[in-house]
Amino acid sequence: MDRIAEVCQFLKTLLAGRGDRQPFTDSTSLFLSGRLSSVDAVELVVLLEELCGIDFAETGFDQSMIDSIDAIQLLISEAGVPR
Amino acid sequence: MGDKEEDVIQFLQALLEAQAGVRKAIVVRSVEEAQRENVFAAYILPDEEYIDRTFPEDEVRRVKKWSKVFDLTQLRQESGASQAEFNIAGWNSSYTRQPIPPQEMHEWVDRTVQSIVELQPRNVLEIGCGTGLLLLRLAGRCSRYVGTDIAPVVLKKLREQMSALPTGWDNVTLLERPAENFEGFGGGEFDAVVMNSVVKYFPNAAYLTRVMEGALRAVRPGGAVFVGDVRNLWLLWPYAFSIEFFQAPAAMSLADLLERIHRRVVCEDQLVVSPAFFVALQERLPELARVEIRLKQGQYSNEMTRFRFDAVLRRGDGKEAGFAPRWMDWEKQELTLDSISAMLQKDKPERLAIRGIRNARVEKDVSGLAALKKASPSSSVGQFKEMLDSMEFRGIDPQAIWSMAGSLGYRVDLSWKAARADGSFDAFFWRPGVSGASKYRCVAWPDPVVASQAPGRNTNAPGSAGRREKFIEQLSSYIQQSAQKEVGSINLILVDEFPVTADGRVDLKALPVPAVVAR
Repeated sequence: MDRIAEVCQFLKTLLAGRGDRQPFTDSTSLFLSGRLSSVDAVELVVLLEELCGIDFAETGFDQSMIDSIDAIQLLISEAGVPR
Repeated sequence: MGDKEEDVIQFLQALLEAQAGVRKAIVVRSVEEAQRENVFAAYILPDEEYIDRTFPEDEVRRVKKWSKVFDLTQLRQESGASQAEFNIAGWNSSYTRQPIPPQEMHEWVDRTVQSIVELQPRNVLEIGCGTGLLLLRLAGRCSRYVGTDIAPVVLKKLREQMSALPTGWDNVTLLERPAENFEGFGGGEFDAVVMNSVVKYFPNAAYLTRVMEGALRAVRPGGAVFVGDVRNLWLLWPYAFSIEFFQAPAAMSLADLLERIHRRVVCEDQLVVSPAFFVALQERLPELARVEIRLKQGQYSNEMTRFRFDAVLRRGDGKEAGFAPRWMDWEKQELTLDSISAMLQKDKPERLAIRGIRNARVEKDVSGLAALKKASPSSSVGQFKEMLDSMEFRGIDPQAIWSMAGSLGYRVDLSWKAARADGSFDAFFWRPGVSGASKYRCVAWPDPVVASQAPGRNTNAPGSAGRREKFIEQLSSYIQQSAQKEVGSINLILVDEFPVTADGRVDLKALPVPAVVAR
């Protein structure tokens, strides 16, 4: 499974944990829309740190950076990590 | 519906009820998939203790997660622009998801500082000092101030802020540690232990109990533990209604709105606590002499002033009885702000006690939630808003009482100790100048309407949604293995209780979404 597919699967699990089984597209807002919480954001941050070696202490952090699949793809590409 | 389908339903019901953790199950044909065969919905009343036991919470991991949230918040690029003495990065409104306006945060901080200053502490331990919103304002008044926090980046930021300010901070010690760690502090070492807007990040009631025990040990007899900005469990549903109703588009159906409210409550990440928790603590801890549950002062109507309270716990030798006044009943005696004001002006009583004052800050949300549960699920949010706007409300804003009392030379204490589900409160007016008035500082407030000695009953269970999801996965996988032939697909829904009809049978029509057909 490539990294983005893994991230998508992880987001689905997080949403299911909130009883949310609605689909989402690459541009769907997940955190700023309130579908996922700041605690979920931490789960995702830990995954991205482990999966892609992104160091948020270096990059700084804002929820908009991980708000959608599109945003996450951009983050990963800016960090120089192959998909 | 054919006999065969009815047989499958009976089979599935028996299969589910034989499973550990299932107290009762009701299976129906799923109305959403009416065109397909063998598609079912199963409503399950779970055994919560089984879920807690089988999928235990990792308390340490949960605490660490919050630590990471705080650190990440401080890593936001824009937080660098915050003023050194007033770093409010991360304080966002649940309604708008935008930062809470600085003037509202200033009021919140100033009122909290004032409440702590009134305790006159010289030696303070602040648990969860964060970016120093209180510490930077209180430490100058103290001979010693110890601030602890679990988040290293937050503490680093606070140190930077302190060094950017001209004040000397020799009396301040900062320690990185979780709230429950009281290592190195002697018994009775502090005049006050402060934890403001912190307990909502605790993982569960047991953790909160441990911290309260440690905090009470750490304060001297006569000292106080100030637990500020606690989210009120009895107002969790009205709070969820308030937020979701604010955010809902006018075209949304009431069924969807109710589902969103339910999800917000079930998925609540923070610890929400009943005032009764602190009252019940008094039975466990003999050194806890007095418990005060105060409404929050503030002109601004926001989630802090409306849904949160401050608890002040005094250490002493045994439970103080308190002054027992004769209570007037706000509802029965049809009191208003004007009639109370007239009484104080005309009779000039030494004291006046009124219980059950309807709270204008939350009245609309409490009534709105009750009306929503009775409304037609297919109606729209827009229609419901029109109906709600036409309702009359006669509650009093607590701040109006404080202002009125102050203008008449009275002091008034407002209490949520009774922990009523409608958010109503009790008021005790007294004149500070009269002889013997000091006895009015300790009032025997009405006891909680619902008081439980079990700490877990007096809080929600943050993170329980994830544990319940794991339970659903377990059941789902069992059904797939055991009834693959009989079931096309089955939607498993956990319920807190089954709605019943007037004659005591399960009311299938009142079951939560997805909607069901009568069997």
